[in-house]
Amino acid sequence: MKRIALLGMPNTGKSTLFNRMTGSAARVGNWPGITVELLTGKILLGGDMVEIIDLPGIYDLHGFSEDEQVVRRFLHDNVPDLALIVLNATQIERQLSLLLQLKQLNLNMVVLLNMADESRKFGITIDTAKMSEALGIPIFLLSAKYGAGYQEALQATTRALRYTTPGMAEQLRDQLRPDEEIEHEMARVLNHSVQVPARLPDNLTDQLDRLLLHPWLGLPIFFGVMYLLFQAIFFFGQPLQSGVGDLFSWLRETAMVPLLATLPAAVQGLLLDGIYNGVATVAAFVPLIVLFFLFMAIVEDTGYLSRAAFLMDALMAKMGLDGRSFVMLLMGFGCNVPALMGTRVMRSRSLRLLTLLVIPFSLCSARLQVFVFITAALFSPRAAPLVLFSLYLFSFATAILTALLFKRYLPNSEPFVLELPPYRFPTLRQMILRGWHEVYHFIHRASKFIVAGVVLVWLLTHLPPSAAPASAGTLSGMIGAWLQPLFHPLGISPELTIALIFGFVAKEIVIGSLAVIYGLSGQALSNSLALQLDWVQAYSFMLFTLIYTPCLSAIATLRSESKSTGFMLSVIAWSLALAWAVSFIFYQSARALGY
Amino acid sequence: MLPLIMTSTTAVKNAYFNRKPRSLPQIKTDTNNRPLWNNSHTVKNSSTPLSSLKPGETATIVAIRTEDPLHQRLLAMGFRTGKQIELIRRARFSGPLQVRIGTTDILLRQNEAQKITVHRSEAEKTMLGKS
Repeated sequence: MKRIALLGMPNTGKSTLFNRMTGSAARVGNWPGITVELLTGKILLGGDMVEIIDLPGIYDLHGFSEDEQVVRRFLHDNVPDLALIVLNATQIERQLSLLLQLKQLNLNMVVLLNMADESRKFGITIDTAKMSEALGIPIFLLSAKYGAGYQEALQATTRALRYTTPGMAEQLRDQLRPDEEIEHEMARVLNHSVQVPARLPDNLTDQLDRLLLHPWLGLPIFFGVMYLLFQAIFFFGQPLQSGVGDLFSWLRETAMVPLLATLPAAVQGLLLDGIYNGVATVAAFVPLIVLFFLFMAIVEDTGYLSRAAFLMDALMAKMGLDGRSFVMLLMGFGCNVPALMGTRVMRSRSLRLLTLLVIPFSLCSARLQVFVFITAALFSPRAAPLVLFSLYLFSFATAILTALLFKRYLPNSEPFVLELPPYRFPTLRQMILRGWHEVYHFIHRASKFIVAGVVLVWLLTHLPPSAAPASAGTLSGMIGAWLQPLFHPLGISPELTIALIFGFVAKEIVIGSLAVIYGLSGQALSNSLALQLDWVQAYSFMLFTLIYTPCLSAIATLRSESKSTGFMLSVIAWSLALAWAVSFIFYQSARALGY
Repeated sequence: MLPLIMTSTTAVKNAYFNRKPRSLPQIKTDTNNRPLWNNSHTVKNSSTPLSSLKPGETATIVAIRTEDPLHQRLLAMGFRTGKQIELIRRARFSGPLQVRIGTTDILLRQNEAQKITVHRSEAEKTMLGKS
């Protein structure tokens, strides 16, 4: 099968073109020689199936960034039959340098000058015929977003595929000519074929920026936008999530239970409470992820995310993060899982890892449910809001502390030089495809891990079969008793330790597990908790729940996003250690002060 | 902490002026947001770091003195000697700068902007004054 590689700088609409070509058929795949996954899609072109690979956007083939190394290695180890070079027509003046570098590799190539609609608005005129002649490469104007010029581009691609690729450099870097020569060549080509107005007309982007990046109003507007986004995800997400949950319970009662009724009780439990619940856990995240990325597509594709980087950078740089990390951290307060996935916009690995390390400390909506239940049971209505607020403060504090402690181990190698794209309208098609790709990615990468985790916890809380589920006699009870020397100084009882083991799967089920452990539910459980715990113990338990580990889905996502089990384990180890230390300090000081 | 900077004993002054230039502008800048150590020289219209431009000012890039990874990135973003550059705005709390080269808007931090030397263009300034 012939192979087409999509190449170009970031912000050229390369992925938009890729989506237009492949639709929803794109898959992630591994390639020899490189460690990152690339999106690929197979399509029918001129009667033959061809494979299209979306390479990461690069500024410079000489570059030192991770993406630039990935592209070099990819081209070296997997020579494509055709390179489709996507350039932003509005920035043709500077993007030509990448094309000239690529030209030296002697690849079979077709050049697409994308965002032709935008460049026309700027008054930039490009004579593609002259430019083609000057470079000896077929060049086409295109608007990948709206489809203008797309058919011609496809035809040219099909034609170019008939020729074989001339050859490929053995030593990629050595063969590249020095920059001075490229600059000379650039001037020659541009003089010929491109006219850019001396001064750009004052456009909508400038006017919007004057408001959105205003020295005083910029930050309040940013927080307002974040708040709205957050509320929207909550508002639409929660009903959808519980709807999916209800659907799965209904399916369980009406179909699964009767179907499995003939099996022995232990097998039934494993299938229903283990595997089926695991699948339901995965499914419950799907609406949240779709929603999150619908909104993220808006924030990102409009260009506002880069503005957030501008506004928040002064503060975030001190923590070794950048403004985009802050957006993801905030989104983490809705749900950690999509926030972790959203870090993919950051192209520097160390910056990404640091952000991945920090996000799990965001007090997500699932943890909030636990805290609301416990505060309602143990604190007066007047104190409860303060208690909840203090937990949010702890959440921020642990995130900041973690960033400050670990930033030196994950130094950001990527220079902070970001492009500020003009504001653009995302198309509905782009948003929906984004949501679909992310859900596919999540299910593909994380579901096995999540189901396995749910089954493991079920086994821990139900074995040996002779003991009552989640009681002291089960494996989890034994672990709880065995860990008592560690948890006693935190004021956490063996029963609560079992709940924490359940909480490893999902924070939503902590309260449910307490109901099983104590054999009570609702108001009776509240009353019983209030009798057995004082506020210091309860607060210590909540602190531990907040910090000790994100849920299993978040852990699975951490693993798939970092592609490192070691990193995932270190995140768990660090959050467990921090949770213990914070709860210990709180519990012992409160007791020492006589509470 | 504050009175230490305010006191005008020579010892304090010397300590202040002998600091590394990198940390200086964060301590004290003049009304043009130009670091004081640079302003003390009387040569007018000489080369200044990009970080000392005011919003709305244009200049010509004279030199880029950065290490390799950053240098490559700046080149690809269109930073080249002889190019016109305009400072659009600065973020609060000594955050990044927004600059424009040709049709590209770029964010970069103060630290990085200090390593780029520019030449203020006076003509451009008067033109801006009119509009």
